[in-house]
Amino acid sequence: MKKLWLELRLFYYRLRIKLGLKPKEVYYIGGSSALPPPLTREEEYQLLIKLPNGDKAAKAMLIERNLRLVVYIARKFENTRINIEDLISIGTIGLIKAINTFNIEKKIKLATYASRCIENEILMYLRKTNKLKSEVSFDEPLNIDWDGNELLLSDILGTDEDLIERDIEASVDKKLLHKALDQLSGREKQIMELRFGLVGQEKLTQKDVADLLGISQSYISRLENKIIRRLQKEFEKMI
Amino acid sequence: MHYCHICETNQSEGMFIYYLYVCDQCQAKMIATDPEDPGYRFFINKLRRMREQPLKS
Repeated sequence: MKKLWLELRLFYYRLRIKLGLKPKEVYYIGGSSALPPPLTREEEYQLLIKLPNGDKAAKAMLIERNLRLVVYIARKFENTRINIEDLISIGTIGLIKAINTFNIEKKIKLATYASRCIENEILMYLRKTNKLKSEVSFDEPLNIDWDGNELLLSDILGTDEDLIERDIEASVDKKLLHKALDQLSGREKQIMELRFGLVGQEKLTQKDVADLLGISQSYISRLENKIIRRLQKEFEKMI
Repeated sequence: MHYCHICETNQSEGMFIYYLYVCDQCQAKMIATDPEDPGYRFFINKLRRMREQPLKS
């Protein structure tokens, strides 16, 4: 009688796969309402012996009826800062891997094997996230709206508008500046180079430049203003 | 043909994982992906939908 009931359930699963029907019952994983009940030992065995023949209905039923196990294990990792929804998704991937690789001939209980696979999957993920604590994934959901649409980090990331032109403009500006500097006298050019680090060295203060050239800081300040005004004029001529 | 919620295309071969239809190719890719792989996050996000009951039209 039990076997007949199981065959009927399997028939329903096959029909679902064929016609695209969704489950009639409404369960919410992680919520207070119950998930699909676990299989009895006999039911589980009947389904497992169908797996090697590629019976998708049996596989779907085994996954669905073991989701309680996924939630139970996921809850054990709730204190790891990983969202429970994510933990359940990771655990489900572990469960799918377990069902796909389970070997009935090894005489091991499916629940034992699946628990190990689910836990491993979550632990591997935790190890990875611990390694990448300072990094953020582009696919990290930042928010989810009422319709379930996720706002991913990649959705809001962009580049500056002038990303391409910026370097080209800077190199043109440099060329123009060097051309304008050539119009200055030797000492004027030297002051600008020292003050603004134009030949690859550190910028110097007016006081440093004054000490280096043996003149007063106030004179350097006056000269600097005069040279900058001259350079502006040279620039205007070039543009 | 059903709409696979992972690759977002209509596929003929696959199965329901709860409310979510997953085609055979996506299932194979999911199984072959380790948590260290960059594409793993994609499957986590997609599987969140497994718990959502589709709206009836």
